[in-house]
Formats: sequence, C-alpha cells, structure tokens
Amino acid sequence: MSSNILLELSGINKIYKMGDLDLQVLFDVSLHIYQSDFVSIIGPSGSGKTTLLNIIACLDRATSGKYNFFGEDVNSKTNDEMSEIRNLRIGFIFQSFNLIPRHTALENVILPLHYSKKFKNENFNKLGEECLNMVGLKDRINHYPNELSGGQQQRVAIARALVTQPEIILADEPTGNLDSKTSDDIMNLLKELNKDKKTIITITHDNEVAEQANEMIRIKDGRVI
Amino acid sequence: MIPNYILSNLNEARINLFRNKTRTLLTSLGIIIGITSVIILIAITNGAKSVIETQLTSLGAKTIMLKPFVRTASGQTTGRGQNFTEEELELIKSLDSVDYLAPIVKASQEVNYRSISNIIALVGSNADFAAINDWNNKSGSFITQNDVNDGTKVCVLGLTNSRRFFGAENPIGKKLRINGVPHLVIGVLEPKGLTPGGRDQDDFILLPYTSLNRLNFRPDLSNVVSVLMSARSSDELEYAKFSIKKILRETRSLKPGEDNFDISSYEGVTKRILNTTKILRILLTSIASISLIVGGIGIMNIMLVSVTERTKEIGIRITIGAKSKDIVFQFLCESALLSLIGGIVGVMLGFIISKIASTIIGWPAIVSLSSIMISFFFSGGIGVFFGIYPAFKASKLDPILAIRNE
Ligand SMILES: Nc1ncnc2c1ncn2[C@@H]1O[C@H](COP(=O)(O)OP(=O)(O)O)[C@@H](O)[C@H]1O
Ligand SMILES: [Mg+2]
Repeated sequence: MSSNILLELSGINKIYKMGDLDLQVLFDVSLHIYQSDFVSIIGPSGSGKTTLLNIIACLDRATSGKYNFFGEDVNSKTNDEMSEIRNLRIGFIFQSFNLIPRHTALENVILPLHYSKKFKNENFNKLGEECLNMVGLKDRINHYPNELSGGQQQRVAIARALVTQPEIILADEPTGNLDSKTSDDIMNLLKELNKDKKTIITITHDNEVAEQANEMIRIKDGRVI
Repeated sequence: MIPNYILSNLNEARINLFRNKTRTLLTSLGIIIGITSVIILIAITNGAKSVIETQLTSLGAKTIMLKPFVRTASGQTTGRGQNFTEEELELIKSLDSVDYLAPIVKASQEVNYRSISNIIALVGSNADFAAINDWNNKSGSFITQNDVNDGTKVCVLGLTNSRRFFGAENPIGKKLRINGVPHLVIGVLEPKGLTPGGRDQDDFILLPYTSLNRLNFRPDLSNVVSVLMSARSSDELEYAKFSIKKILRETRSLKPGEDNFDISSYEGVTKRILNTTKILRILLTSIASISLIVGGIGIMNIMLVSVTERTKEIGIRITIGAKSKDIVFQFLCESALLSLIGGIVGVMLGFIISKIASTIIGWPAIVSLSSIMISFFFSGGIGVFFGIYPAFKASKLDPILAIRNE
C-alpha cells in the first residue's frame, strides 16, 4: 500500500541571504514520502534538518527546486493557502512543545480548529477532549502548560497535532527535551499513530530513535547521503 | 460558526488585557480622558439646549426685553444706561406692533404672616406681566391697571410662598406684611416648577410695581431692571424692536452707536447662552480630540509592544494554520477592547463629573443615551484604527523565525 506518493521533493536548494553573504543550507535535495511512511531525518546539528522539515511543512519555501504536495505545486501557493494546507493536512510537534502558556491543555489542543473552515460546525471541546483522551491526558484537560511535566506537555502538543485529523505528522526533535523513559513513551505514541495510517516524519539526532522508523534519511552539510 | 469565532477572539483579548491590568488602565488613560470630555461636552450642550427651550416656552418667541444697560460691540453689558420714563413706555406701548408691556422691578424684603417671617424675592410689575410670561391664576385675581395707577397694597403669590406662609389655608383675603406694611393677598399663581437648573420658579411674590417702588421709596422708574414686551406676532418682532429703538433714540436724541439702553429678544438669549458655553465647549472639544489622538497613539504603541512580546505565540498560531486575517482580527479585537475599556471608564467618569458639576454650577447637564452610544462607537473605532498597523505587523511575522528554538 506504500506506493501512494504524498510528498515529492526534487532538486531542492535553500539559500539564506545574510546581508551580502549567501548561505546555502540545502543542496539538491530530492526525496519521496509515501502514505503511511514513518521517516526519520537524522544528521548532526546545523546540517539543515529543520530547514528541510520547514520546507516539507509548507512553512518555508525552497530557493529553487520542485515540491509536490499531494500532487500540487507548493511554489505556486500563497501564504494563506499554505496556512490552510498546514491547518488541515499537517500536525506539528516541536522540541520545545510550543504550547501557549496562558491557555489550558484543552484550549491549546483546539486552537487549530479555530482556523479551520472544515470544523466550523463541530463541537471544538468534544474533539479536543477526544484527542487528549487518545494521548492519555483525560484528567489534565484544564491544566496549564506550566502545571504539566515535559512529557505531558509534549502529549498535549501531539493532541493538538491530531485535532484536525491531518494525514501527516511532522516532528522536530520531539524527544530532544525529554528523559529516555519519556522519550520512549512519545516514540511509542508516534508508532501507534503510524499504525493508524498517519504519515510521520520526525527529526532526531539520536540514532536509537531514528532506527525505530521504517525509513531513515541522513543529512550532512545540507545534502542527503 | 462566525459568532463563535468572534467570541473566542474577544475572549482571547479579554484574557490578555486582564492579565496586565495596570498596563491596560494606563494605556487607556488617553481614551478615558477623551471620552470623559466627550460625555461632559455633550451633557453641557444638551443642558444649554434645554435651558434655551425653557426660555423659548416661558418667554415666548414674541418677547422683547428692554434693559437700562449699555451693551458694547462685543456683546457685554457694561454699567447702567439711562432709566426709562413713563412717557417713553407710553410711546412704546402705543406702537401697533407691541401688544403688551410690563416693567419689572425686583427687590428682596422681609415678609411675615403671624409668626412666619422670611426674606422673599419680590417682583413688581403690571397687569401685562401675566400675558407676557404666560402666568395663570390658580385662584383669586391678578393685579390690574388700577392697582398700578393707585399703588394699591395688594399682592399675588407664587405657589411656594402660598404654601410657605399659609400652608393648606386659603391665603386670599389675608394680609401679608411686606417690610412691615400690610398687603392684601388677591391671588395665587399656577405653579411652573423648577427650571432645568433647579431654580424654583414659584418662589416669588408679585406686586404692582408702583407699590413696590413706594416700599423702596423710589417713586420713579429708576428701579426698573427690565421692561418686558410682547410683539403682536413673531413676524413683527424685528419691526417692533426697530420701532422701539427709534422711539428711544428720538426721545433721547441719540445718534446710532450711542444707545444707552439694551434691547434683546429670544434669539439674543439663545446666542448668549450658547456664548457662555462656547469657551467651555471649545475647551472640552480640544481636550477630547487631543486625548483621543494621544490615547490612540498610546494604544498603537502598546499593541506594538504586545506583538513583539508575543512573537512566539503568533508564530505558533501561523504554523498551525492561522491566516493573515485571523492574526489581524485577533489583534484588532484586542486593541478595540482595550480602547472600549477606556471608553466605558470614560463614560462612567463623565457621567459622575457632569452630575457633580451640574449641581455645583446650577446648570443642567444631560447625559443622553446617544452620547453614551457615540462614546462607545468612537472608542471602539479609535481602537480599531490605531490597532491596524500593529495587527498587520503581527500578521506579517515569519513563523519560522518566531518558533525557532533558542
Ligand atoms: N533564518 C535563517 N537565516 C540564516 N541562517 C539560517 C536560518 N535558519 C537556519 N540557518 C542556518 O542554516 C543551517 C541549518 O540550520 P537548521 O536547519 O536549523 O539545522 P539543524 O536543524 O539540522 O540543526 C545552520 O547553519 C543555521 O545557522
Ligand atoms: Mg533543528
């Protein structure tokens, strides 16, 4: 069933302009992501992993190269169209959780729903509670992020990533701030999501974590090796 | 649902603004002062209008006032002019365009009835006084031309004084001592109640002006503070004024510009009332506009700070799917609410100050519902207007920079 190509990058280059200086971060990156893949991107710090993930996430644009997202050319999309794609098709998980501190767990989880036309007539709280239930935080829905442990905060973030029922989950070093026991829990959660046919792309610089994926992309100095 | 979307944005704005109450209050200070001024401004203008309206109904559009004052070119009255003579008033009264003429003499004197004694405002006039001022008798009769000719010791009571001296008794036929001299009560007037400024219009005693002059030992007309006249119709008002001026200038051999009398009518009163409030209104308008602009800029400033402080949050929102319009709307809600809070405080403050000021200066201040609506509309509008730039700045944030791990 993994013949279905979701994302297709070919010849992607990314150059950051820093004053007069051009800093090329990605060199001729080409890759395919299939439906229900579990992909890990591994490489040393500063090798361009986050930059690549941001491009995959439709958060950033490549300087050159082609990127097909569900058969559509991302380069031709406006910023708002890219926002809509992210909202509906991608769930985000970050190393530092990126929750809004003055919102409760539930409020954080349902935030993406506010920006979605698709869920306009749904009961936000019900959807949010279901997702929090799924990540095992049923009894923490009214807690604020600073009242939760790192692992719990990351679960809230995962619940938020799931709430719009996206096909793809993108995670940038999701276990980077967690101890090994909690890291395992989070990775297991991602594996379970993968079993549920979610496509997962996760960045890590931990080999052990990377090996749990069924495909590994190694990056060094902005090139896939 | 769209209302749901607006509600959640307003709630978001509320949470943010109440998290930092001191900052919110200080930021909206300009709006508070501005809106307070707007409320007082409208209250005073409304008050002035109501005073004018009362003047219009009580004096009537046909009323002409003649005073022994000299009026300068700038409209101020200075010193006394020349007193009127019986002959002058006879000539004026004989004009076709003038229906009624009533000289007014005023004095305050001790009045007593049995053990009750009080200093009372006395008004001396003639039979025409009732017609010009629209006073009707509640009971008894009014002073007549004969009373004036003979200086009869009679008086007509305003209702307040009927109650003051006689309570529930019928005062007609009783004798009041005015400055020790007994005067027969011949009538009681219909009450007119309080002016919008709170003055009791029924607290006076009316006498034939000749009787009052005799009490004052001033047999001539030197006590006359004004002469009220009624033009035959409001169309003839200007002609009547012109004719009166002509008579006085001829009998006194005055050249134009040497007038030692002052003639005015309702229109003049309106102008003067509006003039008294003019400086106040200009002052309040300036305070209002300056503080609203300063307040708006303050809001813009604090919203820019807010955007910088919340760079990361905005980045998260954009990442998970917020479009430019969502971010713009969120920040506009916040700046509008911030300004509206200032507006609400300003309305309350303006209301309180208007009421206090009105009781102190005896001038009515009318805080209307429309002025409150205008204030809310205005403050909300200012919040939106000055929030536009910060909101757009927020919506243009690059989410990648905003969510970078530091
Ligand atoms: N916005 C930017 N402007 C300039 N340089 C950047 C920017 N973002 C990343 N870089 C640079 O690009 C390189 C790759 O960064 P990144 O993709 O974050 O690496 P990784 O995630 O693998 O640690 C680094 O040298 C970093 O300094
Ligand atoms: Mg990185």
